[in-house]
Amino acid sequence: MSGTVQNRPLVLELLRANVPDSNLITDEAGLRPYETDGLTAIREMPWVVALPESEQQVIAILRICREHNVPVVPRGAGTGLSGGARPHQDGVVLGLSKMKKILQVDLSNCVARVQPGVRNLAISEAVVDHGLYYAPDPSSQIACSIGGNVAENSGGVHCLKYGLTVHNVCGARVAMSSGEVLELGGAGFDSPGLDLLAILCGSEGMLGVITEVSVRLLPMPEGRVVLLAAFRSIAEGAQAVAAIIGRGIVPAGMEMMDQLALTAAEAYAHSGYPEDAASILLIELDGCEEELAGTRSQVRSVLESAGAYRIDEAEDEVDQARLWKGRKSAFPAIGRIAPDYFCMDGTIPRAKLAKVLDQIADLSTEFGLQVANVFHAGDGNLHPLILFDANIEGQTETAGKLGGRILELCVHAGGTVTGEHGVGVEKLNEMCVQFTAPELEQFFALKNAMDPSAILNPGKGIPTLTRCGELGGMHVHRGRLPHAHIERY
Amino acid sequence: MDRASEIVDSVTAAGATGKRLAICGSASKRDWVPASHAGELLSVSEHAGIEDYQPTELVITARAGTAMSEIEQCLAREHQMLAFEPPRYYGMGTFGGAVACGHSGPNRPWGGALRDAVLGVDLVNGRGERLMFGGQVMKNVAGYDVSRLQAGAYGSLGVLLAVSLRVQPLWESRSTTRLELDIAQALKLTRKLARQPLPVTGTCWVEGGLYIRFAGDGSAVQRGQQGVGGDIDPQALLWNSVRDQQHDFFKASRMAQDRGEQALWRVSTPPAAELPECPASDIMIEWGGGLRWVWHDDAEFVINYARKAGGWAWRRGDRLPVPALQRKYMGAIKQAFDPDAVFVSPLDFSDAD
Repeated sequence: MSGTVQNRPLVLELLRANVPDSNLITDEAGLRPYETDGLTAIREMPWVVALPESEQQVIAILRICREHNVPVVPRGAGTGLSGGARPHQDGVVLGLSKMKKILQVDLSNCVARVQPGVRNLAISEAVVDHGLYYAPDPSSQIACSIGGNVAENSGGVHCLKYGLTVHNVCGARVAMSSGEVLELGGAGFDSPGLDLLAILCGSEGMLGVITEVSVRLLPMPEGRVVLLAAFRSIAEGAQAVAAIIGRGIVPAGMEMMDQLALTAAEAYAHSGYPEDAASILLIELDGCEEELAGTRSQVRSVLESAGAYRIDEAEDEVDQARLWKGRKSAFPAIGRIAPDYFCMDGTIPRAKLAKVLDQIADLSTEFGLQVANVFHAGDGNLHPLILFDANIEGQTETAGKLGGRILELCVHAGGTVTGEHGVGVEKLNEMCVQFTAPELEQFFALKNAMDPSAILNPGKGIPTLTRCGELGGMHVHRGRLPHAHIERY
Repeated sequence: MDRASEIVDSVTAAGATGKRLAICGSASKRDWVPASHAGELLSVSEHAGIEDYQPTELVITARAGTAMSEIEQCLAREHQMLAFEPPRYYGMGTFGGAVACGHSGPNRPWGGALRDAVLGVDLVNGRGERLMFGGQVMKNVAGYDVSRLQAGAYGSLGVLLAVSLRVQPLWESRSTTRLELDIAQALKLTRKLARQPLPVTGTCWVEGGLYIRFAGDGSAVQRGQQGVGGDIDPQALLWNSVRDQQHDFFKASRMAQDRGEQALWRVSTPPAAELPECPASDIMIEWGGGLRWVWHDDAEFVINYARKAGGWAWRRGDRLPVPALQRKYMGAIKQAFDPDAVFVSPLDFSDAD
């Protein structure tokens, strides 16, 4: 990948011949909104933004860019949190926002076929009258696009029970950098051969460009119960999480917040959270009325045994929304108590929750920066929020280092550096901790199989071995020394 | 028994000498996967044992050669199960073999496929490198989802040493109802049920009857059953016999009917797809309509039917029918994992149409 455009006027002319003029952005004011995604700390101005309106235009753009070795950065709604859609200065941002038609709602097969720019929530809105919905609900669902969800394998608060994007997508059309279009899956339950759809989910725009998605629609659950439980320690809350699962109950959602997070959320959203609690759990159960009656009482008794000193139950839908509001606005709430924050996304085995949270507290003291914890406790996906002030010299770097240490903790606890936000550009260094050199090489070989021209989203997702070697931090990974064959200097 | 280092050595040696290896567990799926005589047998059945299982994590990690029966017994003791109900053809099957072949049982449309349960793998690629992808946690988007890619790869990309799969709580209660319906009525009803929040975990139409299994919370099961009506079927073994292809329908020569020249086809279609125009006694329908077993003597008829319906058909013992363009990319992926083609693959990676 040369990373430079040899012949900009020619490439631009070719793009103009294939994409409507109004959909090609080259002026600075027009490019500005595309310089970053949801990870606003990282910015880069693109050379061109192209907004195709059809699969044919996507293919044309890919062919031109491959021919002239121009990097292509696919972009959905730009809500990603790891800089996966950070532009390339010599590259084209391929924005799919104009491809936003719901192509077909197939009620008899319970499948919706949509273009990649369709918003996540718009799918559920389109089928609500039929008693159906699309289950994955990332917190940005009002804005994020389904194509972006596939690229990131997005989760949400309900994925403990209903799975991630990969579990709810049954088909896709994918434009490859060669200009070929792969038709994968469909409305049926399986396809022959290697599971290409599985590797496209979460591939962060590095293997292909999604031009159409088929998603599975589920019947809306008949009823919901939302409970809030308050604990005097984090360990008790963590214990309750394991105990509920141990009782054979898989709640639709199970979220935890520590004191710093819950007090900030309470001040912001007035959800009625007990501010004296060391941790709170929000639990959502769903099912038919009879089932809910039974599960609710089981969960209550587990919570009490685990030491909950207060259990609230929402009385109706409005009340449920009130309890959820604090959790859902936790990030902006934290934004009010600190000028800046970094959001981490490590996942750990549930059994290690209390221990890892203790270690995070120790690191917070060591680095002198506060860390608020908001997370999907049911699936062990932590979102430690590191509070800092970018205007104080050195604090951004300190916060970054603290973040790195937290993610290393997650890896050492048997977890991963990213549960749902993706690697993007943000977690490239931490990938060196999680994977050995041969594993990273295998990722590159896979990438090369799908995108031999290497134009798709270069520099994202997988760190080069050189980068890992230069990091210098030596981490023993699963008892093995990583990158043993790389020279260090 | 941990045989990992011997397996790694075998792969490395094969790579060095240009030998090809045919990976094998218990060979229980030999009727479906064409036998390959091209390679030397690499048996993983002795590389067995459960490596890690903590029920509250909803994850089990076991070596590839572990008998599936042992896995399921171990889970059942903790009131847990594998949601995809792995088939055990001939009553056998290994953990790694199940993942490599990727077959799922009756609960697939509701509980997810085997590939949906994959969380992590410990794998030896064609270069003899031992690699780990994914892990034991539910959510993990670090790097490409190489572990899920192994489900249904038939060992083409490497030898599975160990796999972590998600598990779920055992159904508290289960009950099967039988309705006397013709095949078209049965399909219509199963599609109607799919749009309702009912604890359906299996449907099977065979021999003039639609069997519907409800499973999960006791009160929800009872309500689902009452809503649908029909007779409670005491024949609890039906689901296992369908899952393991031990049901009379799968036998070429049944008491009532001689199959003659007919072959057994597995036809996967969108669940509401039209029915094939052939005698209903030649068809069994599972998966809420999405999986149709068809006895037929005309390959072209079945293949065209499946294509028209938006699905695909696979005749027992044939190679899997992968479209040419997909095959090209699959071949490139095979090359990325196993550049010297050490592993004999039942998948067809040729460029030819």
